[in-house]
Amino acid sequence: MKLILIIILLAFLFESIDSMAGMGFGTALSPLLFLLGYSPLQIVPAILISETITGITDTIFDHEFKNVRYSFHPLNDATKIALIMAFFGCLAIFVSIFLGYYAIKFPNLLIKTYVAILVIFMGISGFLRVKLRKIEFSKSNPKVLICFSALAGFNKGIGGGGYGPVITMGQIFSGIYEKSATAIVSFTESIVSFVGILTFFLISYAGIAIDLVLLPSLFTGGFFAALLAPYLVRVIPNKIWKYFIPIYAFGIGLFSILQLFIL
Amino acid sequence: MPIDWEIGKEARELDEMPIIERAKVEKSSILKLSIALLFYTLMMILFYFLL
Repeated sequence: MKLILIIILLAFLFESIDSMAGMGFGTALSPLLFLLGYSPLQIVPAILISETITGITDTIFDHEFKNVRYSFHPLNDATKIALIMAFFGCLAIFVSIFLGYYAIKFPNLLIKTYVAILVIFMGISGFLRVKLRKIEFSKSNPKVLICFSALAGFNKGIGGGGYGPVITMGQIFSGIYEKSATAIVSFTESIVSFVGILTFFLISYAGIAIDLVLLPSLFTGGFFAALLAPYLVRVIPNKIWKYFIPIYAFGIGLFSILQLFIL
Repeated sequence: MPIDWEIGKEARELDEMPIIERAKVEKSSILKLSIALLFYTLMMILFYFLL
């Protein structure tokens, strides 16, 4: 077992922001790990395992610190929303496997550009929504949320990514309190990541070797971030998150565009 | 699902309290944090033997 300091620090930083803003762990961390010379089979399974455990940890402490409340008996709204979004996320994984199996490929650059522009647009809309609050830009609407969940799943399924930003911003557009929206995303991502792990185990049965050298470092950084982030979400006032989340979504979208065309 | 859902009701109520109140950590939270740290230690021992 090897602990790599730079990976621990990066995982801590991006998992903290991911838990607080509902997005960015996969989108921002994966390209940096590629730059450090790691391969997709070293990065993706380790991120999925780490995300599953840290997502569950984050969910427990978001509930504990009252950022959101979950209930399974009976199912409350927060739990229902997390499960609906997880359903679309899991469906996306199966769609991507199906497309891969039949070697159906969409133009990668076009899809990633479309998702990046969508995330930038959602970031700008989210920011304007806060600024134009006085004219009641949007009201609570569960149908809007289901549409955004399906859109996020579709984007992920065809290989465009951007699942976190779309479901986080989608919840906010649907009228969910910002602190609670990011907490629900952590719960959803832990379920979707778990299904992703199962997929990778199936692949490993097919003879593809998975290397978990990054797991202890990603887990260490991510786990301590998952303990700290729910507490920070509780303490920092929601008006900060109202601005931070759309600005960060805009930054993620912009980073994706730069990565596609410049870096 | 209702249009005016109650998601985040407690978070909204907490936000209306002063920051000192929000920063207070209850005993049950400290216990859960201790259990989490124990879980982390066990996971690292598991990684040590498996990886």
